[in-house]
Amino acid sequence: MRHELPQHGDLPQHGDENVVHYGRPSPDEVSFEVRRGEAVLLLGPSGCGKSTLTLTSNGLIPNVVTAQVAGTVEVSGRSVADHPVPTFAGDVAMVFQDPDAQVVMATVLDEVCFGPENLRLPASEVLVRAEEALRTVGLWERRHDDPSHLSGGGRQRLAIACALALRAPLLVLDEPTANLDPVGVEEVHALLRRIVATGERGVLLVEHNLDTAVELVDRVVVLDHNGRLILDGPVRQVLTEHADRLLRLGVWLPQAILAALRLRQAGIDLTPLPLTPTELGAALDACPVLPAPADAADPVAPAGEAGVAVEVSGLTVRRGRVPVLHEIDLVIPAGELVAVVGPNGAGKTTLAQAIAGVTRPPRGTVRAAGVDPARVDGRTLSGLVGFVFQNPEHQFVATRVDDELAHGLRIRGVAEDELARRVDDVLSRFGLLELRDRHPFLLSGGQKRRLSVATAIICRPQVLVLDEPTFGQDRQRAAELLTLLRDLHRTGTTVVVVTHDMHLVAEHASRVVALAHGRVIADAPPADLFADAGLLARAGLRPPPVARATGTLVRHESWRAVTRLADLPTGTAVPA
Amino acid sequence: MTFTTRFLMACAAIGAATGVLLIPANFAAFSVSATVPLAYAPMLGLWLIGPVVALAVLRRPGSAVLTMFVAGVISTPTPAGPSAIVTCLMVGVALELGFLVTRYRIWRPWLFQLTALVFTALYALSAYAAFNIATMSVPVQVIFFALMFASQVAFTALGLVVARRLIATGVARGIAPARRVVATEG
Amino acid sequence: MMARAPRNPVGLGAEPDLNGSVLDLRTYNPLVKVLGPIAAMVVAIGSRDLLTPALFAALALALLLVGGRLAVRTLGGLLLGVTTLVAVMTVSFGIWTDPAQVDHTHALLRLGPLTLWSGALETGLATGLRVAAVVLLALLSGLTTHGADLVRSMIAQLRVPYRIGYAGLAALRFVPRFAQELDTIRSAHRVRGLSGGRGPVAGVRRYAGYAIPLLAGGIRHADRVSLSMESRGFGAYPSRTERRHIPFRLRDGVLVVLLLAAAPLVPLLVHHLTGGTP
Repeated sequence: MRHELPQHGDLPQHGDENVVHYGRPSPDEVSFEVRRGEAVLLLGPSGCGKSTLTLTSNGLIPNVVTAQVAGTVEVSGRSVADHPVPTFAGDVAMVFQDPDAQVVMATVLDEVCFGPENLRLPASEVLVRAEEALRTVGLWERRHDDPSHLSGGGRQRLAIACALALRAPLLVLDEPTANLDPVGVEEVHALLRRIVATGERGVLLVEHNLDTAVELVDRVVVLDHNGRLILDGPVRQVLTEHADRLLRLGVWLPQAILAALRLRQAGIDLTPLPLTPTELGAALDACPVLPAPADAADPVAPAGEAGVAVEVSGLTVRRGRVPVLHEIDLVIPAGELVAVVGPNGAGKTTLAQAIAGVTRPPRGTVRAAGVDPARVDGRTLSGLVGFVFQNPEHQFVATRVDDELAHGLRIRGVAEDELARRVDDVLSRFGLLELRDRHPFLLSGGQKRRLSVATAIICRPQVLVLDEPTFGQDRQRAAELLTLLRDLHRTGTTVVVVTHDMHLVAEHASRVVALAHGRVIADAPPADLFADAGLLARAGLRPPPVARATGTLVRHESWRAVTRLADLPTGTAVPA
Repeated sequence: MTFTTRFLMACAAIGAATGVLLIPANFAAFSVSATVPLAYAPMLGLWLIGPVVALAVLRRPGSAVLTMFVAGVISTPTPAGPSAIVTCLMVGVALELGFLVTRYRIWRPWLFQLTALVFTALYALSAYAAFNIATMSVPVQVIFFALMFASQVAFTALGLVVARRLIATGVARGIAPARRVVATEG
Repeated sequence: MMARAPRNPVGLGAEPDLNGSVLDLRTYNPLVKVLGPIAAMVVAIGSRDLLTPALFAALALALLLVGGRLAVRTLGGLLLGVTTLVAVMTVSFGIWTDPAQVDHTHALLRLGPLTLWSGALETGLATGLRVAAVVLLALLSGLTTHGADLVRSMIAQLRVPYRIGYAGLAALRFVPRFAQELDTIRSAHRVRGLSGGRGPVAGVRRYAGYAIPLLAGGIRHADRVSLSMESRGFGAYPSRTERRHIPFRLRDGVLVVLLLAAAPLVPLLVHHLTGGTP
């Protein structure tokens, strides 16, 4: 079946009720379809329009979010442009990135009933569907709870239950795990695997947590920078046969493939390329001989002279009557890049805020950059300890990017010529020079994040504290930020970063502080932490994919300590 | 008149944020008014910020009424006063009047001020009765109304400043009608 | 009137069972409880004597005591709060009353140029009672109604379009989120060195600064919620299934008649009791 096809962006068409066609006009002449029971992963470099494409599935684009779109899109024989979005609720169910932005009602049960009620189903049918959906996602027992009392993973499972209750043949998920901690990611992926296995629905998934996602999809569709469809095929075939091309395109790949590509440079050929950590482990064990793991100098070894940047002793913080932190003792030597990890609610943000004096700690419990945050005024402190909030917009106070940077210097009385020089310097270092007259709120997510870090470091603090800086950002943006942090760290700034991102921890941190229930349960180099399965479980963490692969090795014991890509050998041939 | 869900929810957001900003102010206003009734007068303008921001940012018919309906729903069942929903709707309707009369074509600051004056007059009447202002000496009465009027002018202007800065953040794009001239600066 | 903002944005923690006893105010239609007392409020505000507002306050208090099913703490807070309110307003409004109107009454206290006349105190007490009557009448719904039920009955009985009503319901979910955001923005601005300045002008400027990220973030959040709502069929039809019905029953009719009748009857009773001399 041919449709009049769009000129901008890629649009989906439902040919019949079980198949969804996505296509582009000639000359590209490409299309793909999602069949019932099939799970399709949509890949592409940052900004290629993956989310845009998902929003066209039920007509949110162009009917609600205005976008320049030409051509027609048909769902169940109706054009999405000519019918209101809500009328497609029974055809396409959507799950979005932010679980909080999908909650309307006061209880879990009411929330799941919301969709079927809108479709004017009889109350009894609404309840039947709600119960089935809630049992599928494992939230039936919590049906009377307030959705905000669920964990992040729980709220996202609730969003999926809401989608299931609509019983649409197609389920579209746009970055459903981007805002979740590792436990939440695992919950959601396990649920999706069960949903795909029932074979009742087609699933279209945009996801950057690829390491487990590749296990639950059947097919991969890849878009290039211009939003053109360039590859479409079974997941294994596309990812393994075109790995180099995808890498050049800037598409993020599963760690197992990245590891195998790196090993190939070292002369270790793992063919076929492994997709998952388990396969990587098996492939490595199948090699009779492996070279010694790379003994590369730790790229994040403490820089600068030794000294103590942060010292926390006996810190207890209560919120109301509930203790959030218990008797924390912690020493962070100058020049470290420390990751603070742990499950949601472990007190990570509270600790970070106490260190930076964002919330005043009790006197005498914290020393940061040589001062007690409880005893100095905010202005002095923010010159010594920088703090970057999770949401960059919270700390913007000016209406231009350059004013935003100048603000911190101006209130400290820095002379205008010196000020202009430093602002220009930071603008160019952070890639913001062209955007200097923009309103900070009009920047893209990645640019906002860079600006928020820039405002914190322009006063040259000795310690920089960041609260989940990669939250909700895709891989490319996260990598960009990490490069910035590493540069800062190299020039001697002590960096403390609160994060859920195990990849960040494994590749970049020189130390990891793990919190659970308001107590420090580990304070060690990342490799030591990832080697201790029991500790990881208590901290609500999962080992990074490379560590998962090497942890099971039988034949190559020395490789069990390999937890990150940087530990893998490169460029040297296998010794005879 | 059908409202888009985006527009409805934008009003809900401004209404809820107004509520959040007003809750502490409300409690302060109440305890102050019980002891120093004159101090109640300058608080009047607080009611105006929400609908002024909503109208100036969203620029659609109904912005003020819907925003204040939501602000009312939020504060209605609190001990702060369930009759708030009636008061809130009154403020919202009053602020729509000037724009309704000019058929939602003029968005100049003077129209905001003029419209707010309608509300101030209504409010002054009810306050006159509730606090029995008539029993107060004439200079006190004059100060009471002067403070109310000054408060209205100041907070309406503040609302317009907030609206202008909010428009600059780009969040209203796609919700407010596309505009040729931005005329919120006072 | 209560010392602190309630933690929960709604009067009741959860929607009450509507099939309870006739003596339970929580089972009554929310609109009756919100709109019914308005006539009485207007009459109370318009009164100038002591007895009329006192009777209205007593009526509201009696209804709350009998049918409010209030927790002991709420009840204690209510009684203490109302008493304090009346006491404070008696004195403070007494001071503000124009002496020329009351200098024929007893001088109770002289402080330099200030004289506290008994007549002034009486005016203050009347003002205090009027405000107390209005507050108590308002609390008939405030302490016995769930916000969501009020919206539901507006949709069912007042024919408010459900999309508008549900925007109000969704907004109830925004409040705790925004309160938390405001906290974070406040500390973020402090970290940026914006805490300087005291007094009301600096305070207003500071709050205006908080308002921008709060509102911008709020509108964007609301925008995302609206996408999720539309994707789930919100607005697909002119009506939607409601699993919770807010009925308008005989008991509601009786209550509304009682409340409306009280508006003219209380002043009549007062007139009768005082023989027309207030």
